[in-house]
Amino acid sequence: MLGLLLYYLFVVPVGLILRLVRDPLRRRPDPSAESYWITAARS
Amino acid sequence: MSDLILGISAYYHDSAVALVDGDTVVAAAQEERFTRRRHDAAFPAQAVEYCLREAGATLKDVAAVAYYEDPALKFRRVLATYAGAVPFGAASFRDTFPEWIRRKRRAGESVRRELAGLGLGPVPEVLCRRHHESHAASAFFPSPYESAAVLCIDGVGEWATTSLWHGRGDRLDPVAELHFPHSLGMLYSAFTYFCGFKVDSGEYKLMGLAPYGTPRYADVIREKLIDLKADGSFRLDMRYFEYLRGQVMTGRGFEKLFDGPRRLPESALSEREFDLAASVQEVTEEVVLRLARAAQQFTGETRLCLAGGVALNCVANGRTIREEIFEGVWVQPAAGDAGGALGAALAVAMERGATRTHLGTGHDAMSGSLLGPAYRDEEIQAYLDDAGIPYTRLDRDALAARTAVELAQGKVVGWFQDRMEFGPRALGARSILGDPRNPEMQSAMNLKIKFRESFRPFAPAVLDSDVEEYFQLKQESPYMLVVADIADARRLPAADDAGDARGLDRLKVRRSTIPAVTHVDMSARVQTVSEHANPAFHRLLTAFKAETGCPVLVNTSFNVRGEPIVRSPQEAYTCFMRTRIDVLVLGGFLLLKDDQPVWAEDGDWRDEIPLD
Ligand SMILES: [Fe+2]
Repeated sequence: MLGLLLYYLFVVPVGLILRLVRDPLRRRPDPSAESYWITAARS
Repeated sequence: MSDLILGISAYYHDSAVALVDGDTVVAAAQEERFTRRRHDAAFPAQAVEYCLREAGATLKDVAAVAYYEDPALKFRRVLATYAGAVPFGAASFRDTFPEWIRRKRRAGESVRRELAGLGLGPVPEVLCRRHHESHAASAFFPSPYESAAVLCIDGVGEWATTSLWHGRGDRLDPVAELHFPHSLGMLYSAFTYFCGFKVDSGEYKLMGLAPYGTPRYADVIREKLIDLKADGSFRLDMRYFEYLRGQVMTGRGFEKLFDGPRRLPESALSEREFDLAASVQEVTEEVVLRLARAAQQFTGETRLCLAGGVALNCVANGRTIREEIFEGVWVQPAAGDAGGALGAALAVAMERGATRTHLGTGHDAMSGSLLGPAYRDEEIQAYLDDAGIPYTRLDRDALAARTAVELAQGKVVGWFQDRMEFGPRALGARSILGDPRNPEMQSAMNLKIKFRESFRPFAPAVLDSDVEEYFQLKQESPYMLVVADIADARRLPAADDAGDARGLDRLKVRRSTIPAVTHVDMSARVQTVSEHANPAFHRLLTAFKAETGCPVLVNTSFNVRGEPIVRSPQEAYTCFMRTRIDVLVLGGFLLLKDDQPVWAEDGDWRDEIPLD
């Protein structure tokens, strides 16, 4: 299937490389953070 | 040039349309009411046609179309989610990516094309607003407050899942937000799914189950699933959730934490589901309260406006009010994504110089949320006469008095008046009503009319002037989005020593003088009815009070389980004949079940309605 081919040939490598740099979803909590708010000035 | 702005939400869940003229809401309706498919996500063609008809307008008269979210930004979030989930998202990618390429990433163009296809005139420019901006605009601009803190909490739109805004006069400014995948709506939906209910519609059931359980899993949720900071901001630990990979909400992580596999839909409920519901509800309330405090601190305001799917959690809303963080709380009646259509339209209208003309009237700008189609008595009579349906015609006062007598005799009444409600609740325009003092009424209405599980409590509608006699609620709740405790004076002493009954057996204990609307935890989802917002329903409640001394009625939506609320007299009559509703009131006409001809249909109509 074209969809699966696209996934394994393109999405997986890109995703893996991205995650080496930084998790695009920031999936884990950060116990040391004081707040998770993204304020309007910073976004 | 005209000031009409047409707002549209579509393609995900519960498509809807709103038409505004300046800050005045001319019409608003969900597509499901026209197509009869619950939460219909298709392009809302019929709702568009209706809204324009209501204004006597065509697309030529509309200055702009506002779509309720930004599809390009949402597409980038979806791409980031695919990338972030590798290598586990193959199936989800295969199932959803083609649709994004074909249509969803250019939803604005789809809207333009579909509008053009209606043949209602040239399509004006289509503008896309942010999902949470639409929620925030729907919460603040129609509210009765000159200035307020605005809090939107939902599953997800583009990136934002929680957002905080500051509304002042005709301005609405963003303050702070939290981003996907960290979402209170998703957390609640994960438990909805795990407990065997449908995501995006079963959340209500989970909330209804919570009072039967003890929150013994709340600490596990706090320790493992969510990191909640003092200022209300939070992150979820995504190792325990499956929704980044698509397909399902939860998997092995949940099974380990919460004692085994999820409950399968429609199978028996056990103690565990009650306790899970109680636990996630407790944590949700804690998060909402902290968010409300943060909203207060960020803005310094004394009023709060709420929208987003989580704002439909009326138990959490009730707590927010009870804690008195704010002097007043106003919840947009269409708090879910349907309301995004209205918010997007208002955001564009305000940007183009509209002003909030309703300020100073003391009322909000929602007209009681009665913003849908109405049917004149002549139309109703023509239908009844054509179909050979026997009826009695009465003037408004006689009709209210007669209906009150029927209700007091234990009859269940279908009540169809004026314009249809916008948003998920029936507010006395398309309602089924009963006597709340009758201890049999809850299970009777559930099983004979709604054909649904009996643990779900019904809501009371109460005359606004009498609310404090019956409920511990110090502000109005016109949209049935606030849960409050029964007033002490209405409680029965027997209720407290009923501690032996467990689970759903607790339902049978009579706890107050209005048992049909009293939940097992002594709470009720209150609707206050004012003469201003809903004169016909106010007249009926007044007549019922004159007849019985009780200013409260059971109010549930006019439909059966799994079906959208009725829109037209025909649909109301069909529902009346298919169920054991005793009396139907259509505008100025009263119909008795005993007088009706035999109702015959081919096959079992229940087969056609999917379980919700
Ligand atoms: Fe939303």
